[in-house]
Amino acid sequence: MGLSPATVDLVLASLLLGGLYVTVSIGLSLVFGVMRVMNFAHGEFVMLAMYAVYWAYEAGGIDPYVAGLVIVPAVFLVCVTVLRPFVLWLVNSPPLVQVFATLGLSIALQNLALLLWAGNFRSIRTSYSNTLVDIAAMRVPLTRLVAFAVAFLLVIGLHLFMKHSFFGKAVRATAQNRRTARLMGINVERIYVLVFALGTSIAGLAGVLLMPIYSVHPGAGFQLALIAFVVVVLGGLGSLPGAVLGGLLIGLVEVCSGYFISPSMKQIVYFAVFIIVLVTRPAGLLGQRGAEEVGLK
Amino acid sequence: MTGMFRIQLALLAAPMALALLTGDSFIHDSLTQVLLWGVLALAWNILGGYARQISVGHVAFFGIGAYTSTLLRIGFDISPWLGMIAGGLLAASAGVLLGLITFRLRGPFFTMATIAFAEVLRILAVNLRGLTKGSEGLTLDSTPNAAMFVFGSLRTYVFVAWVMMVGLFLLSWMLGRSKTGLRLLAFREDETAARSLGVNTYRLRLLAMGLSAFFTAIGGTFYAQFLLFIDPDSVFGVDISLQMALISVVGGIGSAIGPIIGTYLVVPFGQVLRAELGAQLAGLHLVVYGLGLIFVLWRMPDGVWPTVERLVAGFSRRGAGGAAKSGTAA
Amino acid sequence: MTAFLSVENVTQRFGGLVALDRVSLSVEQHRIHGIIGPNGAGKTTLFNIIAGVFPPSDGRLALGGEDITRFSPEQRCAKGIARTFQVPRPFNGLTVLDNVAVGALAGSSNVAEARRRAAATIELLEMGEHAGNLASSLTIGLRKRLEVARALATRPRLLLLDEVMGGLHGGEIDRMITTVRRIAETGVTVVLIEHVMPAIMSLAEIVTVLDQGRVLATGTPGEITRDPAVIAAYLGDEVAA
Repeated sequence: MGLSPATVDLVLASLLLGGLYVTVSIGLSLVFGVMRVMNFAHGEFVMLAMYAVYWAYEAGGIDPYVAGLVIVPAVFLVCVTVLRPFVLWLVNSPPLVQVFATLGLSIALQNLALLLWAGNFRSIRTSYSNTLVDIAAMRVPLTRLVAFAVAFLLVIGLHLFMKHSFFGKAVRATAQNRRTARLMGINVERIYVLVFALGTSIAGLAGVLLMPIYSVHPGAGFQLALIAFVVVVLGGLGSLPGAVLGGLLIGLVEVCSGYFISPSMKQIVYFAVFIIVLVTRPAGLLGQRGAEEVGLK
Repeated sequence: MTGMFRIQLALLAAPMALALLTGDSFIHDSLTQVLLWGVLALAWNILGGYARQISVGHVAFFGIGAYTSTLLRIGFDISPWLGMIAGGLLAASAGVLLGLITFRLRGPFFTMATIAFAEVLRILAVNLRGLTKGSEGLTLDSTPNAAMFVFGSLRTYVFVAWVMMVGLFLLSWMLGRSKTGLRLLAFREDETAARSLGVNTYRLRLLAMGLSAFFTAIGGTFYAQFLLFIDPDSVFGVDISLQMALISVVGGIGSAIGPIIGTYLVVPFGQVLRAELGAQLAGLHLVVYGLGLIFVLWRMPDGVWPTVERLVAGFSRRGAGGAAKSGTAA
Repeated sequence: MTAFLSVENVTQRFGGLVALDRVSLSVEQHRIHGIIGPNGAGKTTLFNIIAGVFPPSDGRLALGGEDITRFSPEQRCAKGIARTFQVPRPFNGLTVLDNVAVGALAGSSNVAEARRRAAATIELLEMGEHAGNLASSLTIGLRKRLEVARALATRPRLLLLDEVMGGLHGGEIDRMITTVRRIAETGVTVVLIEHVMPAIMSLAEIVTVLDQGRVLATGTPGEITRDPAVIAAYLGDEVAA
């Protein structure tokens, strides 16, 4: 008894794509879950990381994954230093300000990329760009496999970290009730900045993983952000397992609709999924009921 | 406050006065754009300012208006004046439908839904080639014919856009002072308390959405008739949604004159930057927009107009020694 | 006499917790009806159900014979039920006059008329001098009165007061007692939840005592203060003090 090669192919493709989507989205879910702020500029950080990888390779000959070892911590650093005041201002602002401040950041970053590097699509070719790996009688691009493996490790690492470390507990406490967390001695401000930095550096990591596979252009961030919205709403905002489930599901939906319907309409399918989820179960599959309605406590 | 009133009158009259004073077609063209953005910003403000439902997908209604009137014109020879109304009604229906689906959602969730909605329409417009000719776009007959909303003189376009903007301003102003306006204010302040006093907040939001969508679509028709060419990227692009919202937020949401002030500040600035710096520095003006938006939100979260109002009130209090009245509805 | 407001076997479950267990009570029209009980008795839950914040898990509510169990807060307002909030929720950015005017909108043809009617209600609540001030500038005592004025402006047949005396000092309490009595005299049926005993004793004609989600006793203030079960559950310390 065996599954047809086509089915295995689809499943495999879905997993690989889903893994990428999880990496793109999980940071967004984390930030919202803790800070109740939807970072509309999240996609731009992915995009900028992709450009960083691109230039490291084109100008410096540095391998993407090696460059990633520097880029991801660099993003983290930028968030805890330069963006610190921005993040703290954001957390204490009314929803209108939060939405437009992050949108403003998104516009600025997107067009900064346009200004610096023009609008054309850029991609890199490494020595292993075309390498295929044999898995279960299928041949899979190495770059996608690496991305999936990293995503897998990331999710496990994040889960363990959130569950067992002191930081993780502090974060969950702050997410539930910041006043009480503060009374318990938790430096809420530092938690917010660190969570934002963590979520955004994961976005940077996603960029590193995406660059060997896809091409980048200034508008890539917007496209990725849309996917992240869908994933995170589907899985349930604030739920990390939800982001994983959502990412994998959207990967599946996209691959299948690309295969069964048509590649150009596949976006419509997952937007349709998005709308359906919003209508039937706005909290998402694994999200906290009412998460989509309440504000920061 | 007659001072405030006179300032508003002057602001409203300025574009038309400028159009009459000069014959420069470049200025007329710029003015038309400014006035069109004024219409769009005012339309957005009805939902985003008065009802505080932040949509970044309003271009959906803009595109619906543009395509509806254009397709009716091309396919059935129907005058865009009528097509405009049809487009408005269609957009309003789509908006109400969207509102019904997303009515439970607050804050960023609603915003994300609007972005997704607009993107879906854009993708549909690209892919339903039989209907829209996809990315090829649709071209309209440029023979001047007032009945078909095509004018020989640029100045006429300025005039029509100006009438639209002033008309929508008056409507916004009256809405603000009406029973609905007071209800919207209460809804914005505290929805639960408003409901306990009998305010049907659900219907209120749908009404705001419907009106907002209707007038945005009217702007879409005007655009189509002004440029005589539309395609999915130009009438369903997210940048239009962003600018509509950005203008109102900068100018001051929640008042009728705020979006107009925002338009006067933001649009000419972008036009100048683009003209001066040209293609080499494409995107620079938008970087400035983005940073400028953050700056305004930081320093003047209510927008420019309320800040100006407060300054003027401060001066007149010091001058006349009288107490300024507390905030009014519009 | 048929009940004006009829609460029939209302049960409310929050997950595994039973907040209200087959609670029934009848409020007669034009009366002042008090609801008291120790903390956690379920008073606020009952109040929220009557006000329409959420429907009960079980049971029925009727106003003047009409079933209103599933009516939303706005629908209840249209039927003549108005409520205040325990922690006042003023429209901070609006003046006192406009706050009350929101309540008066339903029965007015335009804002000007709503403001006129609001002004009259404000006078009734002796808040005239504050009419032009922003609601955010009021003290707690005035905010409580604003809550009442706003609710009253909707011309209710039934007024629900949620711990309207809470946070007020002696003189303010007396004024509020007088105000509530005056409101009742205009024919409005009043239901009030209270912790402040002197207020209940002097205002309420009928009192329902809740304890742990059940009705413990119903009667005149005199009757329930003599009821041993009530004293045991709740009033003991109060009476002694």
